Amino acid sequence: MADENTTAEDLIAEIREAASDFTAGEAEIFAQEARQEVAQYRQAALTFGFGEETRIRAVGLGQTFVVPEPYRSRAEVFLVFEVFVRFFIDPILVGASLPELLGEIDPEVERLEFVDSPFNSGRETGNPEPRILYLGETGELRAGASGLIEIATELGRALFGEAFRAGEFWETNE
Amino acid sequence: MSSINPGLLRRFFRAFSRLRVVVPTSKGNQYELFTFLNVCLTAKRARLRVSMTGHKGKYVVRSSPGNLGGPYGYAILTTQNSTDYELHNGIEIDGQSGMKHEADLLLLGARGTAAAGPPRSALLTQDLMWAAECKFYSASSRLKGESRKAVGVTLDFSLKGHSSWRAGVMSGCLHCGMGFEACFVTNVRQGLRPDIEDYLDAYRISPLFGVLPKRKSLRGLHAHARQMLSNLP
Repeated sequence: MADENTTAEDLIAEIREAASDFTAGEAEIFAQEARQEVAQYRQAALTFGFGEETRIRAVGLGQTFVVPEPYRSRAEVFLVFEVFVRFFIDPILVGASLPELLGEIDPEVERLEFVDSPFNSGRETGNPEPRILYLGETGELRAGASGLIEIATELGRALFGEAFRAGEFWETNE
Repeated sequence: MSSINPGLLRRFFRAFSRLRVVVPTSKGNQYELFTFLNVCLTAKRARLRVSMTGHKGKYVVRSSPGNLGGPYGYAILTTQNSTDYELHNGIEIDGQSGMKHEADLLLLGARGTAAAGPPRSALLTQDLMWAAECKFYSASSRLKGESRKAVGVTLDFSLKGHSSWRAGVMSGCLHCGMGFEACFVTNVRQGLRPDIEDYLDAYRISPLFGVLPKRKSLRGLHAHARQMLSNLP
C-alpha cells in the first residue's frame, strides 16, 4: 500500500504490479522508465572528489534535476510519480483535448484519419491502413480523463500528504 | 500518516485500460497533432484566417515522416495582408550536409519564396519560417539525447553554411543565420531539467516545457507561437 513512507522502488513495484493485470507490456516499460529516471537523479546527485576538488568541479556546472520545493524531501518518489503521470495520464489528456481544439479551429472536421507515409527515404513507416477517430465518439475519453485525474490526485495525497497540490499537475490554464 | 486504499491503483488501471485505445495512433503522433492544433488556435486568436485542408469532414493526419504532397492534411494560415503560410507536420527536409531530417512541425511560405535548394530542396522553393520538435516522453532523462538531436537538425537546416573540410560537403552555421525560428516542445515539466532547457536555449532553440492541456505552461507555447506569427513578413 502506497503512503508517505513509500520509497521510489516500492512505488515502482506497486504501480507495475497493479498495471500488469490490465496492460502488462506498458507496466514493464513504465518500470524501466521510472528506474532510469531515478538512476539519473542519483547519478546527478553524486559528488566527485573531496574538498577543494569537489568545489572546483562544481563551479560552472548547471543543475540537472530541480524538484519543486514542496516535494524535495521525497524527491525520488516525486520523480516516479511524475513518470507515472506522464506515462499513463498525459496521453489520455492530450487525446481528450483534440476534439475541443478541432471544434474551435474548424468545426467542419468530423473525423481524423491517421495515415502513415508510403515507404520512402529508406525508412520503415509502419501501418499502411488508415486509423479513424470519429470526433463525435470521444465523450467517453473526456469523462474518463477526469476520472483518472481524481484517482491520481488521491494517490498524490497518499504519497505526499499536505504537500501535494493537484493544481501543480492539472490546473486549468485558460 | 495518510495512506490509500490498496484497490486504488487497480481502479486506476481498470479505467485506464478502457480508454487507452480510443485514439488510434501513437502517443507521439497525438502530441504532434495537439501542438499543431495549438499553433492553429493561436493563429486564429491572433486574427489570422485558419483553414484545414480536408474533404467532407475528413482530415488526414500524416503519422509517419514523408515528403510534401500526397493526401495528407495541413493548415493554411492567412495573414491580414492576405499572405498564405502552410503549417505541416512530419516532413523530411534536406539539410546543408544533404542528409534528410524530419521536422515534426513546420511553417512554410508560399511557392517561390525561397531559392531552389539545396539545402531544403525538399521544400520545393517554399521558405521555412518555423520548425518545432515535439517530444512526448515519460522519463525526462530521455530528453537529453533528443535535445542533442534537435540541435544537430537545427544546425543542418540553417540557411547559411560553410564548406566543410570534406570537398563538396556543406555544414550549417547558426551564427551566420538560421533563417527560421526553432523550438522544442515537450510534456516534461518546465524547470525540472534546467540543464536541457539551457542547452537548447544556447543553440537558439526555444525550450517549451510542460506543454499539456490543463497546465499553465501551455501558455508558453501560445506566447511563442504568437510572437513567431507576429514576425511573419
